[in-house]
Amino acid sequence: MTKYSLELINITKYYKGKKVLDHINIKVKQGEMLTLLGPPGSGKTTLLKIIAGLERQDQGNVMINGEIVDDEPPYKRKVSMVFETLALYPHLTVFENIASPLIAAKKTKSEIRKRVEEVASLLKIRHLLERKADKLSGGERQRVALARALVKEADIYLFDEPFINLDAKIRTTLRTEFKKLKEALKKTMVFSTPDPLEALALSDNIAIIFNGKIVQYGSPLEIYNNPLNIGIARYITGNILNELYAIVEEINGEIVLNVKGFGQSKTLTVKDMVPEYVDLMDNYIGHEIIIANKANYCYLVHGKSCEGLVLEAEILGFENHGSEILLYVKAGNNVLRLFTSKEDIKYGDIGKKVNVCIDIAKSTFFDKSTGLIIR
Amino acid sequence: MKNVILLYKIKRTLRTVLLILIVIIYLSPLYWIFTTAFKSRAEMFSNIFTISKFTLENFEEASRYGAFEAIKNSIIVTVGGVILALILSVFAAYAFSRFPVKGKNILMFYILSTRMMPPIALVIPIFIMFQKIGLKGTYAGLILMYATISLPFSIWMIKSFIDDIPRDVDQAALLDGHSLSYILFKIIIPMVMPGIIASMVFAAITIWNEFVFALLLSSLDTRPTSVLLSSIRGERGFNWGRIAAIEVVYILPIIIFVFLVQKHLLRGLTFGTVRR
Repeated sequence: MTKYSLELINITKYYKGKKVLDHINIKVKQGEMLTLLGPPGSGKTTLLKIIAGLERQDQGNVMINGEIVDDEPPYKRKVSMVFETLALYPHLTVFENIASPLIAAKKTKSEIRKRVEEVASLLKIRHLLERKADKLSGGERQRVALARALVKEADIYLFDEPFINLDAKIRTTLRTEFKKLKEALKKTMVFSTPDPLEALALSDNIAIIFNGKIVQYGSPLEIYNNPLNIGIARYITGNILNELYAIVEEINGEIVLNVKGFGQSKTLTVKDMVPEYVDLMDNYIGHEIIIANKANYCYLVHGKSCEGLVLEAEILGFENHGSEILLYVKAGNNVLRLFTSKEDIKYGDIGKKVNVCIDIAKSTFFDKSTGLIIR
Repeated sequence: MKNVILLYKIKRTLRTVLLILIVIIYLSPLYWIFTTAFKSRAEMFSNIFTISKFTLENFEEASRYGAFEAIKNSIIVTVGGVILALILSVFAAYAFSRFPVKGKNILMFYILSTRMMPPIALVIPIFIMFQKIGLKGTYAGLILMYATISLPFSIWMIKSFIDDIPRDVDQAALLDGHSLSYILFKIIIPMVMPGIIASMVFAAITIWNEFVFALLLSSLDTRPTSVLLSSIRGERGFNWGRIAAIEVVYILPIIIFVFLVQKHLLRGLTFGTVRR
């Protein structure tokens, strides 16, 4: 039997009569990093606080190392946490902030100094130890909060959106460092974030929470490739998902997708495009489906051959994303987004006609009426 | 363009003149008190605004009339009242801010409503009560009374400061493994110090200046300066020099006190400046 560091069994929580967590079941293995991914207000923080013992669930149990800890106060749970607000003690120095859990554990002065300096070196804040916590920059404060959580000897480390209030550059740096730290420490961690990219980059497993319910659980790859429904697909791609609507039809014994929204009809033969879907699509004849295409599987046709759906489109505008350009084009009634290289586009190109290729083989299909994935 | 600049200059000059006038209006009584205190009796009414010869005779006389005992009494009841009020209000504010107190809103309103009553309406029952239990004329009685008067404002003020500290700070400390008393004394109180100092200053000023309760609840031995001032009278009418001298020693301590804590006071008065 696998031993789990953390098990949440049917956790349900009401807040002012509203259900904020709905039968949450999660198991986290020793050394695993689980990410709770969900939009703001989905219940991530509440769940973390329930694990820490700072809030009490209305139903269900929290198990740590195989034992039910529902009646244990926070300090007995061997859990450490970084808060979204960081919750530093502004009137104390960085040293005193980090030392706080050790002072509470009544460690000797020399031991406290040794441990604090160790952790501070790890997080590259040793030069800040004597500074007051309210005289730090955002990134520095973040590091101090991480240090205070890591200095405590705990079985489970909780991180509540720790990088959310930082600017993009520091965020990327800290994320990379965090990943290294995670691999070095080999501790059980539960991380929460509203940012899909962060979740995909850092986690061993992801639990997606919408409105207090876990809607999908799996490895980053599983979730990225097979989002259970269109809502998850939109969320996980950060809303840069191209959606085309099509009706599944049978013409001359062949199953075809009749793509809508382009004036004249555009039909795709399922057997040629996505042969593995022939049997599946048979069940959907007459239904409307969504062809969900990630922006990186949509490209401009020039020279390159297109093994998918070619659409005539007009350039609407673009955003500079550093090394890449996110291009907005209008094809029929649809606005499509695609990534392209800087050389492909210049300012005068807005309004220009281009041909766009949608890679159907790399697309995911959803039933429009239920929103569920077809697989 | 020139006109605009001219208009601006005129406005600025007018504003300055107005401000100077206001300052003069506010400071002239103080000026009168300070000059009169150092004037001889003969000069008192001949030169109202100037002074030709400094003398300390008014202070000697004030001391004979018990001015310094009265100042001592004022200091005892003020310090006692402020300390008692602060201790109680810090605990009360922490509890109201952080714990589920039954009927919290009603209680908070009730506490504040005691401030709305005119003190004079309460004097008679309190006088009788204090006489019955032997608190009349004692320092303890006055300190208790003053702490009671200062509590509502202090509780409200300190509570609003604690409310400004995110709950996460308490919870982080709980997770670190600290006790509630450690959290209150080592984390919450240092963080709300500006609020505590501001409410301390308000309480001190209120108590120092209070007259009605002092008049009725003190004895000759415990009467504070406000009571002494009202009872000073010369053989032939008011002796203004003597009164001014007592006023000088009455005003000075509170001015010095406010001056000393003004840095904290300013931070305390602009609510919500607690940094996270």
